[in-house]
Amino acid sequence: MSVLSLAWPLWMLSAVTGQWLLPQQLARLWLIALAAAFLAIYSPASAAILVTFTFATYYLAQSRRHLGSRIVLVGFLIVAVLAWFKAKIAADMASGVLGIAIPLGLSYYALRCIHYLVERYKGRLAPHDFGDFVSYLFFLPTLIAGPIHRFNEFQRDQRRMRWDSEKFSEGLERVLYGYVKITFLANYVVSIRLAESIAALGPEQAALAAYLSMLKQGLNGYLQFSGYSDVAIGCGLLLGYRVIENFRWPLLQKNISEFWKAWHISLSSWCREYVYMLVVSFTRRPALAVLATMLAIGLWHEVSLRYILWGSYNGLGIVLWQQFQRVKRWVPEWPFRQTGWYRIAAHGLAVLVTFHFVMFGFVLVLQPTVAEAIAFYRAMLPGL
Amino acid sequence: MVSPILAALDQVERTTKSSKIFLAGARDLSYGTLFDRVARLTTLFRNMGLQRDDRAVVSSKDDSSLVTLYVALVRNGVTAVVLDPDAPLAELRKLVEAADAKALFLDADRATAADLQGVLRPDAVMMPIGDEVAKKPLFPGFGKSSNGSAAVFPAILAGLTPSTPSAEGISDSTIAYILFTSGTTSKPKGVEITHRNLHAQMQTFIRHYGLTAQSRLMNLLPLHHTDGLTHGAFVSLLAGMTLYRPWRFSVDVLPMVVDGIYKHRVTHFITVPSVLALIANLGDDYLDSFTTPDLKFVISTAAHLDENLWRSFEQRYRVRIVNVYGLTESVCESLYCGPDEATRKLGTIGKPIDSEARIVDESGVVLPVAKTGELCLRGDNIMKGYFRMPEETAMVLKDGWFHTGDLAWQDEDGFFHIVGRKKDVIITGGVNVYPEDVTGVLRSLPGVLDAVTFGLADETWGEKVVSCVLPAPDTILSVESLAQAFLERAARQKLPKEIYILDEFPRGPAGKVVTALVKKKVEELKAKARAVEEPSGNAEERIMRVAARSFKTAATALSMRSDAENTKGWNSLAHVEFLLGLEQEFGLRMSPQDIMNIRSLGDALNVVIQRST
Repeated sequence: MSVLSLAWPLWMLSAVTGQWLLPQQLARLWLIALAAAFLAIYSPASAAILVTFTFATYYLAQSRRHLGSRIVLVGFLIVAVLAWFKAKIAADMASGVLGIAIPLGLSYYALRCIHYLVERYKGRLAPHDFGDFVSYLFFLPTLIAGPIHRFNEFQRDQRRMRWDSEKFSEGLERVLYGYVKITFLANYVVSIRLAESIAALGPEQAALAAYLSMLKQGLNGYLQFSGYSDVAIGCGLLLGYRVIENFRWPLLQKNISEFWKAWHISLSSWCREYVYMLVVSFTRRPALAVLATMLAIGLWHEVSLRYILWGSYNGLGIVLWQQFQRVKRWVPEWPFRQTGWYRIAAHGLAVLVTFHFVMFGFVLVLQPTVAEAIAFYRAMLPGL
Repeated sequence: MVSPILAALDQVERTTKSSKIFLAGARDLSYGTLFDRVARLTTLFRNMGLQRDDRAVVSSKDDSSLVTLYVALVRNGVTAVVLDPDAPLAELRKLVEAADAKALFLDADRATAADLQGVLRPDAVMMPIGDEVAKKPLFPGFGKSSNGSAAVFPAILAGLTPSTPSAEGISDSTIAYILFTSGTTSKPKGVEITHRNLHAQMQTFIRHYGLTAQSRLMNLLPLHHTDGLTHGAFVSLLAGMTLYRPWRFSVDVLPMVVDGIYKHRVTHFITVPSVLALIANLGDDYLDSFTTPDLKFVISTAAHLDENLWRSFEQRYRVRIVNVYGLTESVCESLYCGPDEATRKLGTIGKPIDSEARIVDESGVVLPVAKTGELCLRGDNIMKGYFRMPEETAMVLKDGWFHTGDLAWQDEDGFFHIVGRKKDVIITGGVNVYPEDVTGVLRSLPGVLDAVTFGLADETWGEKVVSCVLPAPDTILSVESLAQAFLERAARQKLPKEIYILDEFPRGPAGKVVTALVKKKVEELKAKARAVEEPSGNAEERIMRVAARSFKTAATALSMRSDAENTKGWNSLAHVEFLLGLEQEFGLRMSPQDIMNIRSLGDALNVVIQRST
């Protein structure tokens, strides 16, 4: 089931109709019931897991007695379930077996539950009841593929809920943008037209073909993922909820640190708060925290060597950039550095370098295995 | 002349749909339910022997019950005496005695007849206020039941037939209600407001604010104060509109209040300056509550509105603030600064509407423009007087002019400017606290030889109540024990925000404590404490300096609201530098939980304060 299926608009139509025609309390129940029914139909295993997570997360985190220990226990169990599925799927892929699929939405709602647990521990959750928590987890627009929205913001939207024609219109626009990105830009322009152009290149242009293939895969990945996010965010707006943005022109950022603040924002901010800050708080070593964070991001996608490498690659990039910032302070402020042309050129170069750094990194995960990724690099860079 | 209030209430009852919500609160109250209850209460009053011009005390935490009883009393020509539902028993006894009421409607858990023995009239009747319906447990013997007796308001109404309230004898000079303006130790002064006063004020509000039946007012001010009762409940009723009071106000619900303005499409928001100051500290997420086209303007009442706050709030939230001035003795408000351009001038209290104002000197001579003197008011909204206090009344009501006790001057454009107070009252968070009340309570505490109370300026609350206490010989007092004992005798709002235990009080030649010198001593103590704890500036400034260094930005570009979203240069590395910088600056080691909790400079301040105390 994906947002491109014919069923998805029908599900959303039911959600939107109930949301705006029913009294508010009933509308809330309606949305929960729809999300639960959706999961039960398309992924019964996921429905069962989500229900278990919901009860375990909420009720074990209620009493303040031994709260820390209970939160660690529940958090560990959630991570264990997620890690098991990720590792099993990676192993099946590596051995060419068509095994189990990851339960629909598990990667996302697992992180939402952990977010809830940590915020509960910090005492930062707004007053709420079990129904509020269930509403948060059983939210159809973000169930399948995120964004990983936050509890307090979601609850606030619920508290403020009212018909807003501007927001509804914005939602419709956003859904449209998302579908255009997926179906036209990604599926046609990049995956068909650009692919045809690459295929038309001769064998003497193999390196160029490989380079363009790298761009094709990277752009396709970005357009698909950001398009799905647009649809999810737009559907949220149709229901009166404004969920966190997931992409903010990431491919136009001027350094790798800014890239990771603009790419899959809901995941990177989650990891920054719950992995990076945790490691920093214990070690006071930002470089270690960065590596740990990017590794976590990699492993969230898949428990496999290629994602470990990809996470480490990006982590190293950020650490090197941070060290560069320290060194840069000692570079003299020569007059030409203040000129307009220099600034434009420097900015352009920075964006170009960052863009390519990211695209090179994507090769590691967009190729099925590490060996194939290396072969791809060799094809791009014949001297390698 | 027949009371105009009665005709106004009758018209609202006739023209407003019965299902329309009048009060949207913890329990919604529709117009239909309200008027039905008023009719049944009319029967109840007759059964209780309550007649026109009698007095009845009403005191409840339940807004729906309080407002219903109040309206029914006014409609039947009985004087409503509305009291603070949180006042401790000692204060309640004092006020009940002063009210000399024939009936008392109090929350069931508040006080019994035994508690009020000695201050009740022999013919007084008490009716407890409880739940809507007597609740029985699902299984007998398990769980709680509530108010099993039906002799509780409003459950008792179910067994009563509605009666039409009689207008006979209810004139415009009938006393609608009495509100007491001072409390425990000094003799409580009950302000008597007539039907004519009340009607005049309501008409001014409705016309000047442009209120209609489609208006939606949010006003969370206490109903035992005029700003909640008349500036909220009664004006909403007479306009046939809806009043939103979903919560009792506290700082915790402030975000919900602001969200409520958005959700309910509030058209008019009435509050006090200290709440505006708190709202000003909320993040940008809350801006749209005020920029929504539904909200006409915000009304600031009950205390001085700082001009900087006024200007910055209007700029940030793009909403007009109407600053109003009045007193319980003028029903509620007499001068208005806005919403129209003719009455608007920032930094002033505007111009009188439907009333007159003038400035006089000590001997009552009217002063010219730009001269400071006492502000006096005259109009149909000025009280009849203080209940059973002709001398006190004569001191403030002279030839129809009410002497406010506030010092002011009028500029050449006709705008009035408040400069200070002649009378001794502290206005903290919009609530009047009389220093002699607080001092009286402190002096009555065991181990206290003497006490003095005054107000000090406070950024959030306008003023804060500060007291100094002199212990009796060989007595050791603690601030905590004093505060605890204080709360057993007086309402929380009178509890001093700061209590200092001094060795001696500076006194004048006649032995009288010189309050100004005590105040100076306190300010010196505070300055010395700040110098010892914070050698290089206050904590906020130091945090901003560390932040400016870490994020490579100017400290002037930062505020306690600054976070990674709205601060340039705040990336993860700079964040760590900031945390380490804080540890170095304040000489502390933060726990992992502290570090994970810091997302803004305000969070950093909280952690630093917690770690330092």
